[in-house]
Amino acid sequence: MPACFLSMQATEAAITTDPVVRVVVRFRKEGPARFMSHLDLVRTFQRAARRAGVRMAYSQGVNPHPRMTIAAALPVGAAGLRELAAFDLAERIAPDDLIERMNSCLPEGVEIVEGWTAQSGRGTFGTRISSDWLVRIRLEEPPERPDMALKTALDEILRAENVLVERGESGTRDVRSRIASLICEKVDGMEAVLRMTLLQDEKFGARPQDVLGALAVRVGSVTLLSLERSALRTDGDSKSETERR
Amino acid sequence: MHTSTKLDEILGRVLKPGRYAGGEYNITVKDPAAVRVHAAIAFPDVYEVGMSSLGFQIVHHFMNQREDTFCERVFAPWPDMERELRREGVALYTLETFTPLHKLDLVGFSLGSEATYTNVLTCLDLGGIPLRSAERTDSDPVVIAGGHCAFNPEPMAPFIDAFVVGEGEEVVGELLDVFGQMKGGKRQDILLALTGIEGVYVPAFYSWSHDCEGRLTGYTHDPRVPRTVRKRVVRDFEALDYPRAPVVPNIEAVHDRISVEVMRGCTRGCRFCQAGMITRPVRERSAPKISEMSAELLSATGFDEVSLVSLSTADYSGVECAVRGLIDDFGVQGVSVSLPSLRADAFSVKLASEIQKVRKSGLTFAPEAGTQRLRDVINKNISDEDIFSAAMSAWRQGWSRIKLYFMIGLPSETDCDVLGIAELVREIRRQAWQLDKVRLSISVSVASFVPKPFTPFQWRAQASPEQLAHKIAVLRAALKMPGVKLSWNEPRDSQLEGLLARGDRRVAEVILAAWTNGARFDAWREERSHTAWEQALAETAIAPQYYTNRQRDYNEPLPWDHIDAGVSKKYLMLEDQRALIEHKTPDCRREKCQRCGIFARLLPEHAGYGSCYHD
Repeated sequence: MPACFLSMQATEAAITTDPVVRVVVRFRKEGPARFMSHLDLVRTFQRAARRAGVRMAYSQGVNPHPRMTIAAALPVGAAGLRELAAFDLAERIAPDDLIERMNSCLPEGVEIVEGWTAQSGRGTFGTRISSDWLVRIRLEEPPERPDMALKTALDEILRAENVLVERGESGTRDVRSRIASLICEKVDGMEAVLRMTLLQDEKFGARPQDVLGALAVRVGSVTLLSLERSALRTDGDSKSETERR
Repeated sequence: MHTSTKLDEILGRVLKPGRYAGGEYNITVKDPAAVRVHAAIAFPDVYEVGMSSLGFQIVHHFMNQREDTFCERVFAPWPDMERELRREGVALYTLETFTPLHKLDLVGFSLGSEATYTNVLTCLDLGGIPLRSAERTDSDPVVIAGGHCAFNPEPMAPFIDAFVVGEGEEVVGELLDVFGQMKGGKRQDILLALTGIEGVYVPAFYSWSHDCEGRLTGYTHDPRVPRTVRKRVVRDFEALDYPRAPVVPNIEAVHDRISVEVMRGCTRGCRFCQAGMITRPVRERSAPKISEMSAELLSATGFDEVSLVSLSTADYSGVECAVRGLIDDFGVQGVSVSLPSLRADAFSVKLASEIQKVRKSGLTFAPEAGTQRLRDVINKNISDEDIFSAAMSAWRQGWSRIKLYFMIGLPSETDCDVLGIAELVREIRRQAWQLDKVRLSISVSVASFVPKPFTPFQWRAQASPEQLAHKIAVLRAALKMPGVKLSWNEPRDSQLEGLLARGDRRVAEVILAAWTNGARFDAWREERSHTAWEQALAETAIAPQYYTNRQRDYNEPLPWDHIDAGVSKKYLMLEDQRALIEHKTPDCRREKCQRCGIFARLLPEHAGYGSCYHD
């Protein structure tokens, strides 16, 4: 009896279901789900769809996978209150029905809050993204008047000609033009809450960490306590355009 | 979700915080105040590994099945998390309700590998539980351990209150019955009561003696407890319940798929294989049952891959039927099937061709030894021809990368046997070239053989680190061929594994000392600390050679003599002697009963020898 072993994986012939409808959803990602990476979140939605019996369209190719897009990745650990994703479905489902079925199959902290059928012929989310961030920090080398020091530092950043950050292989970037607004909302002892609107386009964008880096140069070491994206706007979908505040 | 801002800050600083955050889909949360027993099952390795363990899922499920029990999960923190917890004074907690371990009634460890022993100590210490059983008071949790390592419990005996030997499904319920009744009572009384359950071993009631030269001379036991502890076996595997809605990790695990256990036990009789000996007898689930389980688990988890697991899935009699059924039922939904341990022979090739599309990423064969002689010694009943034809048919099926697994340091091995590995690789390449003028890319992976308890080689001397280093050097020189890659494991690690696998209760002091010196995650190359272990051996004056590199006498007391794994010592001796004369033993499912003793001893209502598969 021959008996060496092999491992084998087998899949049925590629499933190449064409999309029937694209549904765009707004969702929250918070609580324990904050710690999912972007890819973890994609897998979570795909699994939730399977559990909910929602038939998603599949990509073509050697290794077909359910078709979906998330507009903008969140850093691991950050919460998002109004994130955007699009699902390509292989069956027509009313957005409200989809939301109900998906929400009953999503883990704690991921929740779809609204959804709409995308206009045909439109791209998904475009390339310009604007994010509102709520950033809670602690000053590790507190100045005498933390509120004053912070205000001065933020003003300086906004007045600066450039804000240079290192982006690994992309080299040094000036993200000043990507900082649309930056204010200190609250100071409580060593802790402070900053609110900022950061932009991203097809080339690059500013990240909350970039601002904290620029801040640290001025007020000493800063610890990030929590990060929350409270709004996300893109230029790609008509509905999100109308939501601009 | 937890509410502690301190923990929030910690999670902001560690690698992969999703390991410690809980909140996954399908978690079970109960009100701890509304249950009799608040417990946790601990896996002494990282989250991603533990969540992929079927044994862990099974015990978790069987505990939570009970209305009177709430079983949470906990995993070993990676060293960065351990540092953070210590620095911030936060106790290791459960993932469902963020309860510190010391506040629980019961903590159960899943011991699948010796390399996780130091992590058990980390979990206990960080959880606020005294490390030694003897130091725990009535208000501390009772610490249980099970898994394959429980078959030689002695190296961990001082740290564990009670071991469960064998399959957990039934014993878990009995244990919770007894514990639930006696909870709140005296610790000694509870432990004594647990010894009344078959399969439960409480080390405190057994003590070992040594002669003046430190050789183990035997053990004595409290008259109130059984002299030997017999492993537990579930008889009706078909009807056995299983985790019906496993927790789906939020972060990527080692195996993101459902595992459907098609068969337990193995009768091939490979003489090096501990799993094959301690999981007997063979029991199967029917193909319709596999289909039913798969459907239920796929819709409960949303995974898109089914793995049909067992020690040797090609030996499962319903494999063709089950695979075809799965492809028919779920193929159109994009579900793939994986067979992690499939024989590479004509049968398996046929199976592969029945499946329309096969992901030809890489293919793994395990010839285990390079020469026919040595394969006869270890009873790996496979010929050179089988290997070549399997490799060639795999090539024809479209695989261009092949991985071959071998062991070095096997009993009676010479340099000729080691060079046989290179010969085999050369011949596979030659045949592939002849067939298609193509160079196969082959990775060769060699593991050092570590003799394990309850195998025919349990008395054998393990090759010393120096001998292993020599064999690796021989092989490296001989395998310098284009397209061939060789990987091996560090001889010192195998020596350590051998010490922990066949050690006695004294070895516990080495484990404790190594842990104190900083040993953590010994299975992980980047975390392993040889100095921690070397110092520990020096501090405890324990010579690993006594446990590893020495041929043991058949009459010598073994540290696991008080455990009854079902197969008899007589059978293991006979198999060891057959190995000496290079005599093969056939598979008892296909030929006659080999009298391993499993049914005669564990299932006495059967007619006796030969009745396992030939009723």
